[in-house]
Amino acid sequence: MFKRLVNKKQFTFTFDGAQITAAEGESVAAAIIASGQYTFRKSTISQSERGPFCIMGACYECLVKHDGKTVQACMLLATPDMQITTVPVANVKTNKANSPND
Amino acid sequence: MTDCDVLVIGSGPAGIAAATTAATYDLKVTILDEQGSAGGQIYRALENCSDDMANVLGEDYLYGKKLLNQLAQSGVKRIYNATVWAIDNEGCVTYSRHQTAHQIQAKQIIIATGALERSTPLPGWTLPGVMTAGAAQILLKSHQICIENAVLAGTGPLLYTIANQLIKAGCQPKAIIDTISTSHYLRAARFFPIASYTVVGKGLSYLRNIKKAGVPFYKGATDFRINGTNHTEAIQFDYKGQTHNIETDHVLLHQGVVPNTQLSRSLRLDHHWNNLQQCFQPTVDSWGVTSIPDIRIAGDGSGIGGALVAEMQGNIVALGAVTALDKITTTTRDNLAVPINRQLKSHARLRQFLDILYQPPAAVLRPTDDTIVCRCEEVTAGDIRSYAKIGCSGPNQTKAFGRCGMGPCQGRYCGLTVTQILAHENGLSQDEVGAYRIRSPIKPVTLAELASLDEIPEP
Repeated sequence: MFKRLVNKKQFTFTFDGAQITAAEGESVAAAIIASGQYTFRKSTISQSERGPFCIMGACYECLVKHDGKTVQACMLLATPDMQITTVPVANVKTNKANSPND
Repeated sequence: MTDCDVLVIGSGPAGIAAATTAATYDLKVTILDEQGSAGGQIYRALENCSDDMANVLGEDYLYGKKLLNQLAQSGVKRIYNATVWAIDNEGCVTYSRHQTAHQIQAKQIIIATGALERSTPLPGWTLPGVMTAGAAQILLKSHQICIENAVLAGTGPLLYTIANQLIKAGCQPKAIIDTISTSHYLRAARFFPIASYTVVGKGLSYLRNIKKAGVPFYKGATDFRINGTNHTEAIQFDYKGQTHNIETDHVLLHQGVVPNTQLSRSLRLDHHWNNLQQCFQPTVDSWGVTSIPDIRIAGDGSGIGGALVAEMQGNIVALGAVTALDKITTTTRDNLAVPINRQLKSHARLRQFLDILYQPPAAVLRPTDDTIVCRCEEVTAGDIRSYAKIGCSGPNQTKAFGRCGMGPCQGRYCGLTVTQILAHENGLSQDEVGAYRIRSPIKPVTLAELASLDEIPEP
């Protein structure tokens, strides 16, 4: 569990359609894990759950899709009504791209 | 394309010191940082730190305010949200900012991109909920977000620092599982740096606070395993001959920091293995000069020394750069460097003590077969050992054998472990085995960013 220590202006954005509360100045990664969701995507080979690891833009575990691009959620500033989605994972056995809604 | 006399990449203590020193010599100085403000990781988000958070984060963090003020008053051109993704050996630096690429031509380049936490592979470390101790500290510094009931696993000053900060924030860790053992203390004892007794005293006070807060502290733990189906559920370890299991959603790992060598490797600069610190570092002279004359490196990126050493190195390296630009003579440069070098010498003794005391255990450097080493491509230590058996002699071949090191992090989190395993399996030194060949762009860029470089030349 995570605790916000300072009261700041809050707003919401969506992650795969679900409302996520964020505070001013937070990265998308920080807001999502603060909301209690630690899984951001599935890994390429085994489709195992993955989430943020380094929070400094080095590990590339926190990848999400925003505005059509795959970006590191820890380097992306959260803004009101942003639409974030999980990155699709190619099924390496079938070579077919899966979206999390499949 | 713009130009400047001195370009500094990274605005941590080394970068700020280098840029502000160079700026006092009537030179055009630019500093770049991929974060939204200066400070690097150590002084991250310091500008907006409230008094309450200052109390949580401590005076070592607040010390950085002096550097931020220096930068603000310096006349250095500051470009933030700038991700450097290529440098060539003729002084051209390419970076992207808000999805547009730009280039700067510099006479002197100072790379000050700092360090990464040492990768600490262990079974289950890729489960959501496992992060680095540094990640927890960034959440505190940048977002004032605290992780509750985390289990800290590993060793080193940063682990105890974050434990103290979490205690002060009212979110004390559920437990600290330390890999340090009595043999570490015995080995380090004769290197005890009497001159740095205040620093050592501070470390002891951190340990006392942890004890006072009643945080369970297991020393000499081995055989770590993080368990969970879809996310972290518990951490298992051996302690005093018994297997223990602690339930938790969050494990914070730490085994010290290592130089971030992506840019230095992409330039094909000479590197060498630091056996005490168990990592590669770029080979630099006493003015930070690398194997390319006008490219210098200062701070943890040239060898781990900590924040105060990084600041001193930034000043020294800047003196070298301004001398190369004929602003001062070598005699003046040498005289100005004397007091800084004296301080650096005494810090070196403290560093040696810390390095010996907090040496990472062999199990962290060369994990068990079932441990994922390359997180991106899910290559295990056992896979790498099997590659070695069929002739894989270096990290670059592991790319061909199993895509190891070819994922988005481009070897940042697997590189050192791959080198260690191959060195051990092949009976070679780490220098002989070498490291991943890194190529630009060192961070992914879109075709649109590349295309945005194609400027129509001015008439």
